[in-house]
Amino acid sequence: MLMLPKSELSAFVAELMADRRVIAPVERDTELRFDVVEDPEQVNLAYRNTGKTPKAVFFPQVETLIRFARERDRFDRIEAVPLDTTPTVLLGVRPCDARSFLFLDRIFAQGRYLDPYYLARRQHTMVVSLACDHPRQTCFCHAFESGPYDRAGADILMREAGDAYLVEAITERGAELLDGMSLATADAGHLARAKEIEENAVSRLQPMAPIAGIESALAELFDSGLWAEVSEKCLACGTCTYVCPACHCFNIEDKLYARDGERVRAWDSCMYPTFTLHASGHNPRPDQAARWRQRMMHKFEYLPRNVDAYGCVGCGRCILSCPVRLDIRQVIARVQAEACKVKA
Amino acid sequence: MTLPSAVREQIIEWLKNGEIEVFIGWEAGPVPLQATPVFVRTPEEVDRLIWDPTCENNLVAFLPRYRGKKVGIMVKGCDSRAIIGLLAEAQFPRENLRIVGVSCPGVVDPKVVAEQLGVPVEDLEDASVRDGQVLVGDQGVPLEASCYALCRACDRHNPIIADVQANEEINSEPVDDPLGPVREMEALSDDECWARFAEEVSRCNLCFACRNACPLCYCNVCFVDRTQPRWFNQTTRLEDRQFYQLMRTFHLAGRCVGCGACTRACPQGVNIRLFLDKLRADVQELFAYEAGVDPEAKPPLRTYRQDDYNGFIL
Amino acid sequence: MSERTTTSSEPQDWEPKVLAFLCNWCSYAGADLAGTSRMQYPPNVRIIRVPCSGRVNPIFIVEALRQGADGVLVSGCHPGDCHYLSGNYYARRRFALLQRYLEYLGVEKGRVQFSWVSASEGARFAEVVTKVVSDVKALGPSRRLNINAMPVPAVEVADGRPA
Repeated sequence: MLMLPKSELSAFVAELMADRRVIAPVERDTELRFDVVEDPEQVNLAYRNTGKTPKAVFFPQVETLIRFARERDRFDRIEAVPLDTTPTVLLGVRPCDARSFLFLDRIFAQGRYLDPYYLARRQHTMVVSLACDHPRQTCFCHAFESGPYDRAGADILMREAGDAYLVEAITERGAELLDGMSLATADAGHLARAKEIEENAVSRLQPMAPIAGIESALAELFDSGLWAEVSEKCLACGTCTYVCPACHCFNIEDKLYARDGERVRAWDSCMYPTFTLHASGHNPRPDQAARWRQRMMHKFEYLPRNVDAYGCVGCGRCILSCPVRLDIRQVIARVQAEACKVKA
Repeated sequence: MTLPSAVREQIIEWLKNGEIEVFIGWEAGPVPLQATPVFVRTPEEVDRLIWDPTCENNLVAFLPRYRGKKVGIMVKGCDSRAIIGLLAEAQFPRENLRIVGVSCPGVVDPKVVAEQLGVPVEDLEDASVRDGQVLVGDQGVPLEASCYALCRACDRHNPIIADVQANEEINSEPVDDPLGPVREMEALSDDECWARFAEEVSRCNLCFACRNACPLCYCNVCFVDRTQPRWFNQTTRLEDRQFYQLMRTFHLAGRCVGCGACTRACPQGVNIRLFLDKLRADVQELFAYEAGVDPEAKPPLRTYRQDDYNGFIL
Repeated sequence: MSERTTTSSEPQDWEPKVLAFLCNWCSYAGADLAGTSRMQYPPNVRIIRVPCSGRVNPIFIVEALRQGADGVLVSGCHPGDCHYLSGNYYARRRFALLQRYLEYLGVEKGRVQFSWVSASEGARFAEVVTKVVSDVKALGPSRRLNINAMPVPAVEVADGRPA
């Protein structure tokens, strides 16, 4: 087990920056978010969690796929945008976000259709997780058989130990990276402190029924009246889908300029009425009840069936950023309660 | 804090005798210092309703969904003007509305409270509003120092339309000048204005929370969603963010009632009021009109005078 | 970051492109009269005929600037003379607000202008166009709101903003 004194964090980051792009939580425009580090002093790991997820590192909100030249209606000289293979270290992600990358892999990097844009970034990025020493009231990672100290998805795991971080390689390439750096071995004092902090963190988690099994509950509730109830206060603004580490729906559009254009992929949201609007004008999800049903079904029934994983990691960002405070945990509890009623 | 019993009884009566099918109000939310909307349909549920300065949402944004129904609703001073805005545009019949008005001193902004206490906003546990203070654990912040910045410029604490007034009126002057930021921006050079506009909008995520929280944004098909022609690409390039903010706010010219729901709903902290207040000021100056005051007054862009301001014409 | 190809070459031989929305009954006829009377006016103006100045949606003006127009002119019938009686009255209110708003947001004063030109005022039309083109030329190519003048993001990462 290795150790990094907090006072040496900037030096550590500077060493990483020597031959890699480092993406870590930095303060930009009065917001703490994951962004490319320009100055090692800017990295701030003393945070709860960022407002927006680091999924944009692998799956940007806006991404050009191809560029082309244009003369009125004629298009030619199509060129693919070079894939991003910059060696990168993604530093300081929470375990819930690291797990979300494993989930996104099932969408973009498995099966018949592999997404080259996502894969290029994913393959060249090392994930350094920072275990969660202070889960928020809205955190529910533990409902997914996970927790604030989960190692899944990390190449290296860092843990709070008072005035230092414990640093541990989880994967081979994590070990390789650490071999090249001169970190001290952790002493007993710090190991003990880290354990204390971990126990404290786990004790902060609010009790919540496990999610496992919710897919069979949902299977019975397609026609239930509960969807209209839970979605009544939803504004359909889509903020939840933008801050969610697992949401991955996108739209592809051509942006045209005077002499050229680009084919662009951009995040889309199932909360918008236009999400399933057909060219004929028909909309199979005509109201917010249908759209909320879709959101829940997708995350907790269709995805488990199709890719064997839930589309939610329990980070709670949707609850914090929702303008009307629609709490997905309450919806989950309602679903579980309704399913019991149906059975009874 | 639960509603006064007289108000609770009135709402129950409305529900019982069918004057309303649903009452839209606020209830305690899952995160500290921010209430959440609730839709009450039975007398038993009326006990869920609360009123205190954590009731930030403008519930009038939900009204257009209940066209054809009889609805009860709770409104703050600023929200009540949105009802008048909808009445002026014939969007909801007055006889189908039962309004409970509350006078509001300014709604709590958890970020401001967190800053005052020097803690991360997510750490505001065990928080409540009582006796003019925001209490977090054993610390307190005075209510006047806890509200949203735009509430400090509020000159409309009291509802101007209501069937029942639930609490005492508040008569205090705005702390900040409502038009201060607008006058500041007007005085800048066009380079500086452009930089300010770009900087403010660079935070926008195009999530459309502002549009959806706005009670006057009720178009069946928003210009953003039109496909024939397609004005708008779904990217977050600066040009698209600027286009969205510019056009949406301009669509509210003469209609925005200054409730601030947009600015509070924005998860990115874009100061949308900086743009809307300019339009409100110009509408007042050019057409002597203030939206959300008189339900009988014709909205300014739906009428004209022969002696309207002509000085800008070549 | 590079910039995209702009629609006009510059700087020495740059000529502004001005889009003009002219109402069919007055201003467009006035422009026609200028032409048939062989009056000279700058060729920089591109005309779009609309039934009435009241038909002009503010989104057209903004979209024109987005697509690279260096200037926009909207011209209609004199107040009181609108073929549809009141279209230009509504337009006047709308444009008064829009012009102030665009200036407030930093679009240079002089890029978006409005006039009343009647069907018999060929000379007036030529005069208006000459003034607008000269004003816009002095302002230089339009970069604000112009989607072709926005920087091309080099690499989009983290937030979808340029790295």
